[in-house]
Amino acid sequence: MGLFDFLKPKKDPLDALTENKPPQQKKILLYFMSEKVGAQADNLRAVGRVDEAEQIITEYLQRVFQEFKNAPLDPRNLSIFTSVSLKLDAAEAAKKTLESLIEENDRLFLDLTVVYTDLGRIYHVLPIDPMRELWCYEMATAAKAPQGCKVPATRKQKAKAHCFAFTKLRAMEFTWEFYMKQRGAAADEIARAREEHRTDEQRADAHAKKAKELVPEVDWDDQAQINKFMQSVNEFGE
Amino acid sequence: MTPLHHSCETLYDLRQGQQVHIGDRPYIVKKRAQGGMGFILFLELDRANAPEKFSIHGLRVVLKSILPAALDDEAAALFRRELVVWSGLQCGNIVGLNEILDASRDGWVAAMDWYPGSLRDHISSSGRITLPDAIHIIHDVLNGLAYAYEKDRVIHLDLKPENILYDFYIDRVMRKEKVENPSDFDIDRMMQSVQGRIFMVADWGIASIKQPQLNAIAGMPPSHEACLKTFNNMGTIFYMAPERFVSGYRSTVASDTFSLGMIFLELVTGKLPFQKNCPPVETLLSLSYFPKAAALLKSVEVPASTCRLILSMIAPDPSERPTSYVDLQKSVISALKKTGGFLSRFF
Repeated sequence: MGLFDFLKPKKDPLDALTENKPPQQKKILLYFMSEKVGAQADNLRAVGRVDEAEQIITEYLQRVFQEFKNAPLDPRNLSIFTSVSLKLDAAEAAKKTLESLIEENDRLFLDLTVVYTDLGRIYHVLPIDPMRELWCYEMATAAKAPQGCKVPATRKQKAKAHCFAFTKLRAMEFTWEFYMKQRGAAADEIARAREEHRTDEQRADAHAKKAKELVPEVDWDDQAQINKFMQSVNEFGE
Repeated sequence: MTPLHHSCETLYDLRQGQQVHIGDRPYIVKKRAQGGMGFILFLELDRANAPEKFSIHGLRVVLKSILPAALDDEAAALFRRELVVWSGLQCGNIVGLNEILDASRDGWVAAMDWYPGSLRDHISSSGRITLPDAIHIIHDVLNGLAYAYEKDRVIHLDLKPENILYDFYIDRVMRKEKVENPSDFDIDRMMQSVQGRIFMVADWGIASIKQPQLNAIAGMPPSHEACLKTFNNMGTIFYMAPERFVSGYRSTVASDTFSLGMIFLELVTGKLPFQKNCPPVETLLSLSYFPKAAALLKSVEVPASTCRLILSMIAPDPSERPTSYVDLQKSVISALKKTGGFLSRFF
């Protein structure tokens, strides 16, 4: 430390905020800092400093991603990255990051359950084929901890992925039927399509069944309990 | 951008006790203040009706906007310019702009934290301040100014005790005193002391932007020339450098150095080098303030090196003043080490 380092202005308020904090507290602070960064970016955009707005978001996301790099064994750090990226309308950047991480996983040894779930969350807000989002959740449900993986996915994280896959399949089912009816399709045409989608329904039911098996303590007929469960399996909890 | 809602015709019409919503958070107007061009509302969260969720707006918020009559003229452009400068400054020693609120019918509205007081309040209640305490304050202010200049080439140009706010910062003292158990610590005493506070620069309303790119974004009020003149002789006279009264002079860091020197002088002597029977502008332009300042410094117990530092900061000729914040910081640290004050423990 140089003699005058103390006097140097702290250019990065994040460093000042998270300095010497225990890891869990640091994560929470970083997460909540996204509100502040978002507001600052909005302020800069409002006054016409658009480039700087993008820059502070990029710097902040890099800082959050650094947390994952510091502890690359825990994919929950990536969930924080995903959540704050979504909050700051930076889904495209998060998509690229997660996709490249999945490609590099032969070196990282991550259980990709959480990573694919997060990628699905990102695809959800991007104008991407809904099948891709579903594919992510199904990849998450199928992911297995590779040899050398230090933090395998928990049963609750798996159940969450199943629940997302189930919800997406149901939403897609509703969507195709809705559009067919909207364009005035005949009843027999809808019935034929329903038959074709029978496998999707079965897939949805299978995901629901698996989620129930994994987390029997949740009453899966009670939407409030499902919501509570989904919220409890987050970047800070299990 | 969080929307701002209220039940009055304009934000300016809100009176004490009335409610205003920042997003879904209800606030009560506690007091208001008004200047020549703008006004300020001090709000407190209506806790009983507030949703339990995190927000960047705390329990006490200040809203700053311009008078409705000024919405269409240069004041609006000046306020926008202030927001352009302010929005880029995120430093512990600068009062932070929390958010520019979405308040279309009220024009620009800035939200910031409501701090316990200003350096003026502190001077009013404590009078003369000890040298280590004064250096602590100057050091904090310098940090803010240096950051703004280094980042965006911004010069404040309206430094005065009213524009230096403080917040309590007990954490810093506890860390340095190595106090582990807060109950062992006399928090009340520390809150009253200067060391338990962090000082922050506020109000960038007439700041000068030396970075061309940012200056282009900030834009100029309709009458550009008038604005340049205005910037030069706007501010609080007691703390304004003499050269700023000269038409066409372009302010530099030296102008802020002068203002900071005057504040430093006021802190250590409790007085400014002006006399009641002589207008301050005349005192400044005739440079008679300088010998008076030297006499004031002689009347108090201040080390010669600190006297020299203060006098160099308020030197009549801007070229004789420290023109680099880094040099000034070094001088302040040097003065500090000689006092053996609180911050000298850092070295």
